[in-house]
Amino acid sequence: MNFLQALIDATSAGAVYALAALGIGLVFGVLRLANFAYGEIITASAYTLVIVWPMNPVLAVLGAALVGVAVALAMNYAVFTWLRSQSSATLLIASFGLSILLQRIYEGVFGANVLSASVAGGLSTSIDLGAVRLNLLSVVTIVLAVLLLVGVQLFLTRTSIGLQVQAASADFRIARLLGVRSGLVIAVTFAISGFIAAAVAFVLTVQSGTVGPSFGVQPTLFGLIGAVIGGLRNLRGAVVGGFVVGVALSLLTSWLPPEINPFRTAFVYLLVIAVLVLRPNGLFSAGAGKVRT
Amino acid sequence: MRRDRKNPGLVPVPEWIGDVWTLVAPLGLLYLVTAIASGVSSSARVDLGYMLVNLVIVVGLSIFVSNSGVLSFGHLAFVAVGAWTMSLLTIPVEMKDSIMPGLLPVLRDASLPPLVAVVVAAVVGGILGLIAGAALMRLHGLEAGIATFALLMLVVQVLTYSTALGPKSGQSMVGIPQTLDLQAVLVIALLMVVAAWAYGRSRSARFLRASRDDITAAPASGIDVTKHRIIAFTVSGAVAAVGGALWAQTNRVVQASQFNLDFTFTTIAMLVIGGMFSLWGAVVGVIVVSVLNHVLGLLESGMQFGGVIVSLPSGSRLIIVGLVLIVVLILRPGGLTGGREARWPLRPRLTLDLSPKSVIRK
Amino acid sequence: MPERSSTPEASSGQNPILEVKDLTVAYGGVTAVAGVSFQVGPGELVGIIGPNGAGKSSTLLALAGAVRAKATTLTFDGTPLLGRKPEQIARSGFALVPEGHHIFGGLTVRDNLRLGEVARRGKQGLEATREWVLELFPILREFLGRQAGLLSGGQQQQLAIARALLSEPRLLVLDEPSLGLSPTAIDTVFDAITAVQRSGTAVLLVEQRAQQTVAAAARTHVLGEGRITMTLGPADATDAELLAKAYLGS
Ligand SMILES: Nc1ncnc2c1ncn2[C@@H]1O[C@H](COP(=O)(O)OP(=O)(O)OP(=O)(O)O)[C@@H](O)[C@H]1O
Ligand SMILES: [Mg+2]
Repeated sequence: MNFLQALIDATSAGAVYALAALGIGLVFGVLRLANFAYGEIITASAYTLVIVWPMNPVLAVLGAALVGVAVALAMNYAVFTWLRSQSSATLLIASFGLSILLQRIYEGVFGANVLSASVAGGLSTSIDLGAVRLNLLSVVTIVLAVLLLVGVQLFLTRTSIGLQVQAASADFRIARLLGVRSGLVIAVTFAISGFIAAAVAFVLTVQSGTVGPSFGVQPTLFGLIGAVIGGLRNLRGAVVGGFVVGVALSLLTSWLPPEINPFRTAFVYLLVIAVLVLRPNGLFSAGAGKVRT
Repeated sequence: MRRDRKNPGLVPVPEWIGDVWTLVAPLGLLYLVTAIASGVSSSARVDLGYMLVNLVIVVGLSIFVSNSGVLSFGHLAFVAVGAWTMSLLTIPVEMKDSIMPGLLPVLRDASLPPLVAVVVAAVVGGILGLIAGAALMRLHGLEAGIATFALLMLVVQVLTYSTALGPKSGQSMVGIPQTLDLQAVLVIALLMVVAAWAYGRSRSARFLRASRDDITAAPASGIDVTKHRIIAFTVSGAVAAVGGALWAQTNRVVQASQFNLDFTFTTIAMLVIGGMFSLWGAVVGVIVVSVLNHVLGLLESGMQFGGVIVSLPSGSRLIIVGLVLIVVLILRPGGLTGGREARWPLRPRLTLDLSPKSVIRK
Repeated sequence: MPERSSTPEASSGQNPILEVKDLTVAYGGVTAVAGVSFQVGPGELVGIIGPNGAGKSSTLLALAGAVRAKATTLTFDGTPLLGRKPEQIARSGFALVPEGHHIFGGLTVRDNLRLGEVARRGKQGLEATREWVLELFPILREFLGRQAGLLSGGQQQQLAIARALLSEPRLLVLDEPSLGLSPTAIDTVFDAITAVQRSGTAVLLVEQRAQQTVAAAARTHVLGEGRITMTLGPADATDAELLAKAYLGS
């Protein structure tokens, strides 16, 4: 196993979970909702890709983005708007319920078995660069993640709405006193998180070519866990946390000796527990610095 | 102290009746539901068995959640460990040899009567709770939730892949003799309710509830929240493991993948729908969701109403339970019981009790 | 309750920009404001003073839509305020600088100021307003690129007022802007407040600095236990005994 190749694969795995953590962290910022049902947004986009791609790839990509945004907004208006004054714990439980509910609905609509189609099959090829064989998908994943991260960063800092999202994340009450429209800011945040979910769905469907009712659960779990160990209250920490979890998972897969390799996920969870015990406020809480107010 | 508004001189009920009632009501309700359901049909009897098992699991969960106010997504770890203990201690040795060839010799040779196995399961669950609690109980809020979930995943992964502790991954343990009948399960379930009630009245639980109500005030008042949380986690782990042992008894096929998100969801939904801050809430939640599940199960297999056959698509159970959960959270975030213990339902008794002591006590 | 004989009249002739009649605020069972009535005319500076817990902040938060309240009349510029969301009220030209200023410490001074522009009606005149605000608080111009959480307390208070002014409000409402500031910083803030009022913006000022407030305001209402107990005019500012009585209650 080539070192550089393993590193690139790990980076790309990290990029996927970093994106999931970003999508989850954005919504957590404004709403204090750790959205467990984020996975079902990913799944909805993935179904769109797998079903529409054989007919028309362009339409599939556009459709997946649109579906991601629509499902995210629908969740907001159907469920979370009604729970805005509730505690974080209540919101989390509600999103857990929503997640299970949607998985069963997908099962009812699309069947319990996976649907498969080769989505963007061309990306599964490798390019030979002398010593290294680069998986094209890994490269595309990394580029996509960087583009989205930069895009979100620009949106948050350069646009008025983005600034309002930041303000609402810091102190929703004060933001509203300045005229920040709560409903709009929350809706915009959900929409962006839905768009990011579609990107995650794209990468994962290209990778696997299949989608089933619980397709989005795994990336959401690891994204959420990454976000929590990175520090959900700080978006950058959340993204890095997601990245770290992905990298750890990938490196453990390639480097653990075969007899204990099945336990790689167990190691990741052990790592998560260790991080939480040692740094209860997130990996990067100390670096953030206490801001005077 | 509650007083009758219209007759300020009258104390509604002597306090001890109200206290005992918080135990008698859940026990009575449980007994009543069991008595009714066991007479309805054989399918109802099957679901009743699962209801009693879930009851023990949810009561175990509520021992920790309702007293500490911290949500746990990981209690199935204890259930899994309890089910494992029960299976390994009661499956005949020849059977173990054929499905679990890699089993540790100690576990291979261990064999105990089912009731003793239940007790051992409780001990194992308690030990796991103590160790995990010592590591995790300083965490709050979301971090605590994620940490307990990581604990569940860790346990499930180990049980899935470790051939020293069980079958090869993807295979299940079978051959668990069904020796505990519905009566025995009912008695154990009632005992667990009593245990939860008794724990809830202990000093430790009272301290913990004080910290639940005001997380910032408790440490300042000299209460060691972490210590009491560890105690609660241990007790709660032991009870949940008893639930796991009963589950193995009832289901008779045990596999690590069964302790998944759907199962986690079902137990949390039961607790939250009933009201996650009281024992009464746990009991009511389990009964309501179980009855709902039973009826939906009948509808899924098709049911005749007059001339019309109503049949729901399979899988609609969890959809409806999920919907009920969300609606309850929106309309009644404290759950159906509003998070209170059972209250004496009869109108005020004419007991004149105006001694200063009884007035001051809360 | 002895009413002051020299009660200053509300500016007559014009419709008040803010009219409050019988405002009540209760938190659970606790009544914080119990039937308060007053008015602010266009371009007027009106003060509210009173001891801790008198209900001053509650009154302001109720006006801004941030806490639930009841009133027989509560209008801003002729439109009722009750039942409207805080953001709607802010966008209608009502700017509240809450107690403890609450700037966004993680954002730059510039971004904090940009957030003040969210409630503006349109972009016209924006450049001029920015210029004017930065002239009012020159220190902010120096620190535009700095993280706002790193400013001193007095600078943060100035930033909070500047942020509110960028929405070009018709009524600026300030909750204890001098809280925790040094005497020179207080002077800067009071100078800015009078400058704002002279520019034609009405100001409602809640303060603990009784003397300074009474001197600057057309009328100053004394709040005690959720009620207005006294109303003072600028002439009363030199009457130390009266001011002391205003605080101690009658
Ligand atoms: N959110 C709240 N919940 C419950 N009670 C509150 C709340 N906010 C204020 N109060 C109570 O309402 C009363 C009035 O408080 P308020 O903050 O309006 O006083 P204030 O005049 O602004 O005092 P200060 O000068 O200390 O700022 C106080 O008794 C306070 O304890
Ligand atoms: Mg105040």
